[in-house]
Amino acid sequence: MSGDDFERAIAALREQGDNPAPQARLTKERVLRELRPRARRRRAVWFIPLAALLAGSTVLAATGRLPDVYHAAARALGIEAPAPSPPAAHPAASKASTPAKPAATEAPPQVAPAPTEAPAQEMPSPNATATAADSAPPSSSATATTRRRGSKPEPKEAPSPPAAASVESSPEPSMSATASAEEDPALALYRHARQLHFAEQKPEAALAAWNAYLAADPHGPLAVDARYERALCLVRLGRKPEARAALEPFATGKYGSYRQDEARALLDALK
Amino acid sequence: MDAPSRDTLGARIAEGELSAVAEAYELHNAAVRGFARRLVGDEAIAEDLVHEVFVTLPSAIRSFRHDASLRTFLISIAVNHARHHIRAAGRRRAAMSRLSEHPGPAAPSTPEEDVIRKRLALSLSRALDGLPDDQRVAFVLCEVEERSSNEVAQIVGAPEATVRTRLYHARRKLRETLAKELA
Repeated sequence: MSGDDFERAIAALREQGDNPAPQARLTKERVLRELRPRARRRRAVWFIPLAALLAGSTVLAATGRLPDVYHAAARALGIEAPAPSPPAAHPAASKASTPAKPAATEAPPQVAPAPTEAPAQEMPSPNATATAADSAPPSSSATATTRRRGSKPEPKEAPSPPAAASVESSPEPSMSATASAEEDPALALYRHARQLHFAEQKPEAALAAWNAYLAADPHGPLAVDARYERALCLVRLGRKPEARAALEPFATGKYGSYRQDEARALLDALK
Repeated sequence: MDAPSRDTLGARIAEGELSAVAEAYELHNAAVRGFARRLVGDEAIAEDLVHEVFVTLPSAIRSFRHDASLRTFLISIAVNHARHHIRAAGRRRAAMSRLSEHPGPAAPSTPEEDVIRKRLALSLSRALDGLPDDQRVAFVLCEVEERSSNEVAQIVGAPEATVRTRLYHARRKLRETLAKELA
């Protein structure tokens, strides 16, 4: 081979990289769609402790115990001198003031000095925090602590299947629950199909997964891509008539130039 | 793009700002795609690589050294993620060769010169399939993308001398392979 030919081949490959990319917009959509749940999770990391704090203080304020808790915390931190009055007052006084709530009997002194000794169900604030965390995420150390402090592990935590857990149903997505449970169920199906198709290289299983995705989201932004990958599965499985039918729309330009060249080449090869 | 705005973009990506990723995509997708296409020689698989690069960007950005450009950093992510895409493209090329007698992407309306160029590019991509990944990356970055060996060394994280050695071996092997194929 002459040096000239070699240089021409290099130039040809260089040019190939500069060809227009009609699918660039689709790829951008795919990227942003995939990153969106992660961005929400990042926001949740900040939001959840704040929400838990707000919920806890609201409950305490509603039960009129916010000042007690504040003073107990201040005493524990050494900001306030230990007051002689609360120990004497709290067993009887709190019972008298809130007879319907036995939890109030364990009130202030236990809260701050020895948080591990006070089970979560005795105090409204940790309970409120734990509830908030259950509906959402154990992302912060604060919520994790309240959970560990609870007398029983919460069995209700995130057993829901990925398909059932929509973004709308859980306002703050969970950090520890699986990513698929948080994201759009259709996207979870898409990911699963890609996994089977590309990583595990199982065309039969991938075909079923692509079908499931397309049934769930037939007009989604990833549906065209899924249709093409499905066609490839059919090619690999040797189901030629079905493969031809699946490739035809791409070859004829139904989806613009997206995968058109490849579809044409495959159709030629399948003849 | 000037340095402060570049740094700001990097910082916004690191903070998980989705619009910053979209901005980076708009600015650099063509460069990343060009490299990916030249490296894997397959448009569709190159697109998958572009997708992977930008999906990985928010987590990878933590290791971004601001003395390099964001574009160079994105190319280095592409290099790090290219391995299985290169394999996939090679397999697809081999499968197409087996399936079809005429693997060249010749369309009836394409001018002759265009067809020849496409064939040459395809031949070179096939020849690249026979190289180890590091030599392939060095060849595409230095020869096809015409980057300096210093920049390539920065991208692949290897000494400049190593890059030049890889390039030397790549050129020699490619010449041999292409000579056989085009003979």
